[in-house]
Amino acid sequence: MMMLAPADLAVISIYFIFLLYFAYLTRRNKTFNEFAVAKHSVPAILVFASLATTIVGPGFSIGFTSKAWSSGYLYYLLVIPYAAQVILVGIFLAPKLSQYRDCRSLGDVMRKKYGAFTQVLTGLISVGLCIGFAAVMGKVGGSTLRDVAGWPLGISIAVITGATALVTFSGGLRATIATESLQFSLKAVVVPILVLVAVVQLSHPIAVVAQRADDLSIKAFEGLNFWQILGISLSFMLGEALIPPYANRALAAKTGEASRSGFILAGLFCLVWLAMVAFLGVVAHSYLSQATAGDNVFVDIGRKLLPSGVFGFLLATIIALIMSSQESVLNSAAVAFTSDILAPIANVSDRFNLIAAKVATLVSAGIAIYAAQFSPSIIDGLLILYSVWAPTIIVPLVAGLFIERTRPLAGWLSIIAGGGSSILWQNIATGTHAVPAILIGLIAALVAYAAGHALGRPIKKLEATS
Amino acid sequence: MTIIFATIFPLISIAASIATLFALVRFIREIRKDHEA
Repeated sequence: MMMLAPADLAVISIYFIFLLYFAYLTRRNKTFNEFAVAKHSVPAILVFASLATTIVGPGFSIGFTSKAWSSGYLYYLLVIPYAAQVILVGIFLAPKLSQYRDCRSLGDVMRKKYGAFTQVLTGLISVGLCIGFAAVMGKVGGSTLRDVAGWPLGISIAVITGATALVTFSGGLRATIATESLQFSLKAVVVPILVLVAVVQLSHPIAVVAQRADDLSIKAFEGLNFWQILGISLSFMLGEALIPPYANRALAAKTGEASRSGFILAGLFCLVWLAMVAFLGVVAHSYLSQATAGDNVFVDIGRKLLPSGVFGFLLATIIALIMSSQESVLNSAAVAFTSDILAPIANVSDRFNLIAAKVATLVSAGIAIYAAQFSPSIIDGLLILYSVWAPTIIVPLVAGLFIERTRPLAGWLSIIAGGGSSILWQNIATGTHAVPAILIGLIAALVAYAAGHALGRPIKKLEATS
Repeated sequence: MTIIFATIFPLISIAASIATLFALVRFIREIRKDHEA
């Protein structure tokens, strides 16, 4: 258990008070539309901040520093395709998505292009994926809280995930975006300060750190084969492309231009942020014992370099890193359930939808708390989720945004073929030289989409607008 | 690369943080106005 100074505890308490105050300020929603897409009122800078803060969760901070501790800047180079993907989505896809002003979710967009069955499939995958993400994040958050407070893991997971659900369930996407922007402001100041302090306190020239980074990167690169590099790059690049929380921000943006700018800035910020946390992993060799476990480097370098009180800000940042990612996925799970699963099968009022979405937020959090007990490590958990999302949704979604006369057959066939082949491949092909499942799934989805497009009938106008 | 990571990028990040805070204050004001309406 970590012993904390009173000043650090005070900072963490103030952070939680601020969050509760924000939840209070943004708590009211009159319609489901307001809950789901914030009345399409989000300006570019907040699209950027909420996207960036969702992206840089525990994996892209604590996990990334840990990787840099052992592999230098290798993972930074491998993750560049991810940032490029966010920027490309901003240029080509996000403005197109934000043209769907009457849509509240990705499933809604899929219904317009492929009909109700594809919408329900998209909804089921979205809800499952978002709860999976919430569980993985919950486990990381729970482990951190367990180390700080000394509570059992189950209770720690429940406290972190439950607090996140309480902040989000009433205010919907607007509350999520407001609290995430606050969390972004905190982390985008505290981590750079830690980096600058690490540079100032170095007892040797920074060139020594640069040389160490080169040595670590080259050594780690030699340990990977072509398929592993391709698999990691592809998973980073496509695994999170337009997952529900990101797509919801494109739908919630004030204008197509706000959506485009928000995504492009978030992609660029990703490069800035990951460089800083990677640097922390490398420079940590100048301050910490070589026996330090990779996952502890981020916290340990902070404890070593920051005075008490300021270290509390770093701990609050870590809590913010976890909560901001969880807020987005819980909100998206609730919206996908209400809009894509409940609405197509039951014709209910807007008020009922709003209540259902709030209840769904809490239920999703409950399932995530339970599932988190069985969740694998953060990177493994994320890679499993990535290998389901990209092969199922990316092909029909991207095609649908560009093809005018879409075929319902192409939509659902592509989802089933892509998802099925990816899951099957993961179970039969194991080992470091196996072709990545995400690649197999994507190829299957493309082939199935082409077949469905060639054989299916175009979607009827009535089906697309109902 | 290391020098840029350790000196220029932190400053860019701090600037982004400050810009976000200003936008957030405006956003909260709009939400409050909306609630009062």
